[in-house]
Amino acid sequence: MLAWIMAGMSAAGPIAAQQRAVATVSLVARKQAVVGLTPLGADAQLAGLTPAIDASPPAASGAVGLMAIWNLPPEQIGDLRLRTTRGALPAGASYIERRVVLLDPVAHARHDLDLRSERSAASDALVVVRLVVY
Amino acid sequence: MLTRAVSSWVTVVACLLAVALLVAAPRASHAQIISPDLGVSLGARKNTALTVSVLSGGVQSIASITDGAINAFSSPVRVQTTWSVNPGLTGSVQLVAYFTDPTSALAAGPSARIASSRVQGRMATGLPAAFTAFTGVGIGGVGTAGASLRLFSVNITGPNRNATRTDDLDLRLDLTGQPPLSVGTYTGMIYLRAVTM
Repeated sequence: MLAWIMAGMSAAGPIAAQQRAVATVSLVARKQAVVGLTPLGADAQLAGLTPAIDASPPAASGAVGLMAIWNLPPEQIGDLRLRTTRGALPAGASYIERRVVLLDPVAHARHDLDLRSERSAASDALVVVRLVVY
Repeated sequence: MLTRAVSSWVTVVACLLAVALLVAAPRASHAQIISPDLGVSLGARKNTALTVSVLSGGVQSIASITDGAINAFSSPVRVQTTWSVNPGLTGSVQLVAYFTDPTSALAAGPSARIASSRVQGRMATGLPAAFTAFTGVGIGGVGTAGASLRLFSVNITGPNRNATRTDDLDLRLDLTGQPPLSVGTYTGMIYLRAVTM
């Protein structure tokens, strides 16, 4: 009897066997692929859209800075092409295309587009800059 | 005729008397004996009990993570904790939430991971009244160092030795100041463990 009492006591008082109970919560969060363009500088008068940007030709000729942003699954790394067209991309329309090789699935790069030729070809037309990932 | 009837009646009465004597004879020939009392012990043990369960919100999801921002999970986790303990032997009941790895609370692959310091929890009815990161230490051998969050602690007294409480746990990802996450589906598991101390 004394041993039984002593087994359940310490100098500080009774000792209870620690009890535990467990439950779990599952977490799922998805990171979607992103391809976007952000205008740099106010002179281009760019209104941001994703993934395309409609831009009015600059009042004065010059370069338009664009920041291309992408976040893609590694298996989809390929060529990134920055394509500039006029208007609603009519059939046979000329365009400027710049090709960038994606080395990192998550990165950004600055591109400066010279829009003078676009302005001379269509003075008041919108210039559509489109980022295309192949 | 009358004589024969009387004779039969006498015969029946004689038989009945004989039977009665046979039945009564043993009792009349022995004294009553009563056995000593035999005790039967009755024992019933009420064991202590402790359970924790998720009533709702057992699967938390974010459809599309926004980089560099706070991303809240859709709904709170409703947790129910029930205990029946001996106040003389149990000082408190505590609930701890934790991940098993502080560097990888959620992961979409070996190189795509979200640390537990980027996961925050809040229990308005518990200890983390404001959103707090899962960076605490374990309690009483429960939890993971650097990846735990203590949700509540109840001191046990007489009145609350048998009790049930329900709490809501809000969860979110705090990705502010973080570089963009790689594309993918990040999964992880939070363990909720109640423990008596």
